[in-house]
Amino acid sequence: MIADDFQHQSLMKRCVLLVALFISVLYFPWWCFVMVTIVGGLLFKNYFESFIAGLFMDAFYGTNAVSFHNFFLFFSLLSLVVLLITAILKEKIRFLQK
Amino acid sequence: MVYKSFQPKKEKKGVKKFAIFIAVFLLAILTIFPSIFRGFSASANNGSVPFLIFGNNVASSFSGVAFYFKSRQSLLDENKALSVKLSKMEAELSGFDFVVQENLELKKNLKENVGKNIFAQVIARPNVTAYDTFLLDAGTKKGVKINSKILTDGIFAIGIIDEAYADSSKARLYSTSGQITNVLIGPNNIPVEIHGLGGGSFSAEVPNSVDIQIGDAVILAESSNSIIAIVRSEEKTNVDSFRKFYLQSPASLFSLKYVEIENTK
Repeated sequence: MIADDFQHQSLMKRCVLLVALFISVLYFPWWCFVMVTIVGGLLFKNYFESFIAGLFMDAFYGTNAVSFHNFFLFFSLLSLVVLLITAILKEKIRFLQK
Repeated sequence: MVYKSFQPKKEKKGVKKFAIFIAVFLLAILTIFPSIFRGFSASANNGSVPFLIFGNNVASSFSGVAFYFKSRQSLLDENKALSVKLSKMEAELSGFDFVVQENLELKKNLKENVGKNIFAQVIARPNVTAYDTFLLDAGTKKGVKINSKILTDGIFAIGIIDEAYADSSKARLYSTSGQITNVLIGPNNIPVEIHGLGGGSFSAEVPNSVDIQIGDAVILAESSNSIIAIVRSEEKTNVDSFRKFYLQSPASLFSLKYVEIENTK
């Protein structure tokens, strides 16, 4: 039962962060999306929702002619890189909680 | 005492590697076949524009309430708005009159039947869209066409429609980083190529012999009735044969609420 409650809380947190991710993509500057991705990457494993959000940002805001050095999937790649970095950081970080 | 560790529990590492492989493969496919991505882009726009419009409407309905709690902030905003207005008026004084006069004369002689411009609300602008693009709430249903110019105040050209959907459209700004635009500068209409730097800024390099002054108006080469920028400053370079100028769009791109889309028939 304790394990079920923990999983339920974790799922709720993930849903809340998903809503925050959605709001940051639509209403806030792009760096808010990066911050939410970092938080999600640190808190949850396999937080690929941010990769989907990055794909969405490129599709929604980009055009044929607008790109970073001829690569128009910049935010998809950025979210993937941030997720990889947070995954590496998680293997190095450990702290004690009473 | 409980250890809370960020160390991941032992899991099947193959799953994570597979997921990363799928993500990279997807990116590669979308890069090689951009038409697939454009289809996704159309769906994203059609589905998400109503959320943006709703957000803008909510923000504007709360703006009156916020005024009572932000008296100092309102003074700062008013100061900023007045500064923008002042720079616009300086642009008008600096060589704008001849463009207006020429525009009026051209319109009198024009035999083509050009329709009125289409007004569109800006629902996302460069401080939200990470790219230098505008999202507008007018689409093909209102007659918006690809490659139509975007204007503010009827005369300041700021961009061009890149993608048009049924109820929305995406405009690329002339100042997009890396974008090169052919323009005419100053009262002598000197042809120059300007390079976008993002956020309404441009740069131009011209030979020393060319007479360009700070404050000169910059108009599009393809249509002389649209001002695209004003020469704002000059960078002193060590290379004696060229001069580098920085130009700025007279429109306040980060606070624009409405634009006009040229109705081309």
